[in-house]
Amino acid sequence: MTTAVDPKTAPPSVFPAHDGAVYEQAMGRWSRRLAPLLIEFGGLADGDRVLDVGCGTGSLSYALPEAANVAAVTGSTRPRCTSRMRAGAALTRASFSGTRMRGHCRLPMARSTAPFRCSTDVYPRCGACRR
Amino acid sequence: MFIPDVEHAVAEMRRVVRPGGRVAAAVWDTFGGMPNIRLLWDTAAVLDPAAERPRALFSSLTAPGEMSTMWRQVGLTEVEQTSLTIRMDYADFDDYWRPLESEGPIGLFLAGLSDEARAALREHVRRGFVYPTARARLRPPLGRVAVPCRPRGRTVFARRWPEVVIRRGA
Repeated sequence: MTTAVDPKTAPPSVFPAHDGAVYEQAMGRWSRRLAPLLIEFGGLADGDRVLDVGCGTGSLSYALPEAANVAAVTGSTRPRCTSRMRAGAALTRASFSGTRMRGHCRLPMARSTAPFRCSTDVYPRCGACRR
Repeated sequence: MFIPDVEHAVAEMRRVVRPGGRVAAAVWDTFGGMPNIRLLWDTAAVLDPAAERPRALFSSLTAPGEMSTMWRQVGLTEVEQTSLTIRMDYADFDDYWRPLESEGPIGLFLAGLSDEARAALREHVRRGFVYPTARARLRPPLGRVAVPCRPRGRTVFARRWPEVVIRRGA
């Protein structure tokens, strides 16, 4: 007996994240491995400004300046995740050079229901932020 | 894949991207790929039919073609979708299992099991898990010399599995 799964009606799942370092081991390390492939497929040129929506521990964010001489990378994630993700972000950051992390700042997402905010100001400054 | 209102989120990406800019995204192929995750969910579903429901093999945007459809739906043009593949190599079973215990939907699922059920699931998944060391035993290093054999009078080099010899009855 099989259970039919309709992708149209399947409920959205959630990803409860508790610890940045453990998240790195669970998924972050694989996201880092995927990042260069996604960047190549998406295309990235020198001078591009990138908004990484749902950046989490920065698996993609930190790979961007490695792939091109980007003008800015802005990461956004849920504020309540940021402290939990900080450890993982620090862990990720350690493997790349020339990156650093700053405090929160709002993203220009006018009618966003989710409180998207910038949590990691990755490289070299938070160009899309308004304060 | 974990965004509740996907259309809203992608529409927001379209709104903030500069004219001529690109909106790129990736989701994990939880149905057709991810053997690491399937191993756990499928084993759990075999042990307990109640685990079929939280298996949730289709999260948002993970169905075939769902991403490109959504991208076009919010007004993006020149949409292209592809499959990207990476390897996930684990040092051993603990390297695979421990991070799953606390993070994500699996961590949530495991936390809801009784101690007995969780231990039983862990043991069954462990039996299904293939260690890299076992793989290394099966597939010898490339430096090994191929072994020639002569079936039907021709010389064939068994390159991938040199120590595998099939003998037919005389």
